[in-house]
Amino acid sequence: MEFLQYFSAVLTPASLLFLGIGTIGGLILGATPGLSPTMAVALLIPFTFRMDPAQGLILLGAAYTSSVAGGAVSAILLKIPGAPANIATALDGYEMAKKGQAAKALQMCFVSSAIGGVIGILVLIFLTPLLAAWALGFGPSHLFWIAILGVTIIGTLDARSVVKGLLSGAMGLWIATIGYDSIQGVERFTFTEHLDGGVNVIAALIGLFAIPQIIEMLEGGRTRKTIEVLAVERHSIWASTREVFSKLRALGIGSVVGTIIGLIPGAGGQIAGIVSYDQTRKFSPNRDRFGKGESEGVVAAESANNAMVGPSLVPLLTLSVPGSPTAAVLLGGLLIHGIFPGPDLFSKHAAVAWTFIDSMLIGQILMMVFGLYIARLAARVVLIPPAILAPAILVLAVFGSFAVQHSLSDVFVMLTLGLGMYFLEKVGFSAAPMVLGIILGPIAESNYVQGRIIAEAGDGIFAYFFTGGLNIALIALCLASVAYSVAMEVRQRRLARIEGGAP
Amino acid sequence: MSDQRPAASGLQQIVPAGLVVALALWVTWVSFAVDDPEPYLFPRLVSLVLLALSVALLVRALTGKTLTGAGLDGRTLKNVAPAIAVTLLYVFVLADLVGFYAASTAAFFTLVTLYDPAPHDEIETWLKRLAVTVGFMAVIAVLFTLVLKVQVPRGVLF
Amino acid sequence: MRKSIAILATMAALALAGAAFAGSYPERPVSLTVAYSPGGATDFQARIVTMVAAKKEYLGQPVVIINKPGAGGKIGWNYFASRASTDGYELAAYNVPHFIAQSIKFKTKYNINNLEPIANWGADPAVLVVNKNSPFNSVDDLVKYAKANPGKVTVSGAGLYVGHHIAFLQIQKATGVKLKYVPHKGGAPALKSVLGGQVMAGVNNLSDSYRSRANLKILAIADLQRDKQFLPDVPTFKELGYDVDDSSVNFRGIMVRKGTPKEIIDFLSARVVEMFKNKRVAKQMKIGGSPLRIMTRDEVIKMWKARQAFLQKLLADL
Repeated sequence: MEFLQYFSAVLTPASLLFLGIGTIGGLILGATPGLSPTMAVALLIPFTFRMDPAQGLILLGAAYTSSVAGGAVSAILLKIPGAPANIATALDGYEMAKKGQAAKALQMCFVSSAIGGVIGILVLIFLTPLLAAWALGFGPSHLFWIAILGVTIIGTLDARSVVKGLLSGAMGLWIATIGYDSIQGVERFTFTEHLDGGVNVIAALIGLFAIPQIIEMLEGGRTRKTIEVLAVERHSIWASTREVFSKLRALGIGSVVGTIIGLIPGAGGQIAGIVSYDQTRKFSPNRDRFGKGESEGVVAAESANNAMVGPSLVPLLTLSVPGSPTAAVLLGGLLIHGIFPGPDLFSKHAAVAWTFIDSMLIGQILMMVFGLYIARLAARVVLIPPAILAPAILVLAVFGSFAVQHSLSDVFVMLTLGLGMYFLEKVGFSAAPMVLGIILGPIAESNYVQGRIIAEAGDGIFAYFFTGGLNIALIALCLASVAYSVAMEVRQRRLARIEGGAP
Repeated sequence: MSDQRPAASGLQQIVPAGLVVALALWVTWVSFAVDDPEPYLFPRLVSLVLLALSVALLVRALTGKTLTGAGLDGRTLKNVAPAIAVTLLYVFVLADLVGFYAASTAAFFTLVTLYDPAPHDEIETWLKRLAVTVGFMAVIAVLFTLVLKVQVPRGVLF
Repeated sequence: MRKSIAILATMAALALAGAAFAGSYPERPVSLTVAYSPGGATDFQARIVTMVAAKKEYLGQPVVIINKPGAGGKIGWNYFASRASTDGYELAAYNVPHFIAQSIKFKTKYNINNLEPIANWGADPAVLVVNKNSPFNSVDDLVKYAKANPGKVTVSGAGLYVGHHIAFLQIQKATGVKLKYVPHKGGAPALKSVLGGQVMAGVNNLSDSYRSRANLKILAIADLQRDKQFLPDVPTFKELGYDVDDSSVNFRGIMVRKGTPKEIIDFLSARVVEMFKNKRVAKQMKIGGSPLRIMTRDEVIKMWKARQAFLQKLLADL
């Protein structure tokens, strides 16, 4: 219960000020396409140079927490996820916004983010010593199977056509192999110099989601119509909160899956949202309403991607191993202040460490309060006429994709992928599985290659990838996921045949 | 929206499916026609999956079994063509040539003018469009250049 | 006649450019390309050593870090050597031996001849580490086991032809045993594999290994002398009787593209060395656990040439 002592340090006026700045800044940066939580934290580190360590870390912790939730704002309002973690949020969140429920979707998103986030940080506070060693136990073979588990979701992510879903995902996997391969350094599929650096995930995310959306907004030509939304329904915060708590299944699955995936170093919290979304859909009686504006989907995705925040710091704080890119950046933020994470962090720098963790806990609540406060206002974004909204998003997309690594090539790749996706969407392909492919490709490939090298020195590839409790458990999960999807597909076809309608 | 429109059918399904097959063939060819197979092990696997799925899609398209997607009609294409042209010119030509700010301002203003339903012959309309453009670009400048210190290409006109 | 006018005009323009430069460079923020991702050791140190750049006695303008990570640094350096401007507003961080080894081994757009060093700020030697629970307690234990089981000892490191890999090749050559190198995407994941027991040993940065020392055994250091500040008890390979020198030590510094005007190079190489010597920089580097080693432009030119010759020989033997 040591963490309780340090709440007073967070509740001083100066600390609260930094907490507020970090939270609001994180929400804004997170909602901007191109600025992922990792970048938001990296951008804020120079500001902490001159602060005292505790306050600097309060700023960074608050920004990390709220930028993850900030990415949901653009996902819901514009169908443009602020970061890969928010892809699943866009699937149902945007459909809700189209029905005029933007305010409700945002309110539910912030409440479930805060619940998931608090659970994740409680795991960090109480279970770190237990889980740190367990998290490190994940090796290349396990991460490979986790990536494959992600791949099994691809086909059913967008329920309209399994073949096109899988094909979108496979194209994503191929796009991920463009550029230098990560191990040997050989150039692959680089037919123009703009592809030398490969396809950046963030640039691809912006292009694949934002560009089709922009063009679609302008499909009506010179009309006065807004994006199919006539009004934003008012929705009370209490009603939203009550609704979130009525979705206990989604909240539970989201928080648990988010926590587990967040713990595993190298798995990438990017897939926490999408895996929980998929699991929740499989267990939900309303599964047919997913993708059409089912609030359960938003709750599952957002509770998961915030639940991931706390656990993703477990290997960092106790073993000095950053498990995710954001954790790596935070490590830099800690080192600059002479704070070495490691087994003696909580004895040597107890005050700073606990203040940091407490500030993230309070930050979750503060993020929710701010989020709920701005929800109704932000929801009005959908009322901006398309003639202004579309060019605004276009300019943001160009600046955002450039900002990722100061690369004009990224902007070209972003637009090319985006224009391609506009036409592909017209014939039933979709962006989400393709982005998932781009995220999972490198995880699957590098772990396969590393595992193969290690296996060759040891007991052989079969033994390395297919034996051991964890491997077998993960393979069983993959098989279950595929079997379930096939069963659903068969059932749906049978239903479609009985109704005699078109598929 | 996509549910009310006629679904894409016929050529609109066959042509993209054919293009995807062509892409899959190219990827497969590149992956297998290399001297050192080591870096291409994963791409080979992906290319075979891509090839199998794309052929399956083409077969379904040819037999008229795949009907998802809203399709693209002539009127929609006519409406979006100017936007696509402006976007291409903006990103591929102007952004580097005249600098991000000049290109973005021009693209923004052009798109607002093209798609804003307000009458073109009133001075008030033009002032409003100009104000929106300048206001938005100011926000972008504050966020990216002042706060985030992003150094965008400057080109010939700043 | 026309020709001479053209020459005259060019000369005038050059003179004007020179005059314009004399008083004003730099008149806007200067960028520093880092070929590794944010949070890595190079990125982290680059941010510290440039944090006082805006002071009048140094550059008088802030330095903005730009990350272009990928392929062990190749993406960032290829971009820099082929597309960066030569007006002094684009700097880059170098890592030796990484970029030199890559320029020998691969078709890269960079090599020591088209880049100009400005100054060196740090040096991070490679160390050989094993998990705390490993049966190996010394380099000899590891060598003995590897002799009995050739190719069975897995050793992690941050990618191919980076400092860790050079040290690995040297260790393999000096001990005469066959080991298995497992490249990772960076130093941190490579160290994670040692801590998690996925590999049997690892070659990693001194600074990162030092931080994780509670869960590691640090067997030896690939440098000419022991590190008195952080690891006074860890022997060098030379002390143990293995011929591994300091060729794998990761030198970090700042460079510009060839073709940058001499005035600018002179200006930078004078000011940047002073900036590295700043007291606040030294203090932050120290509390961050990062060893400083400041070298002037002339010293770096020599060091680059020496490494080039050495690596050419080492890599040709493979």
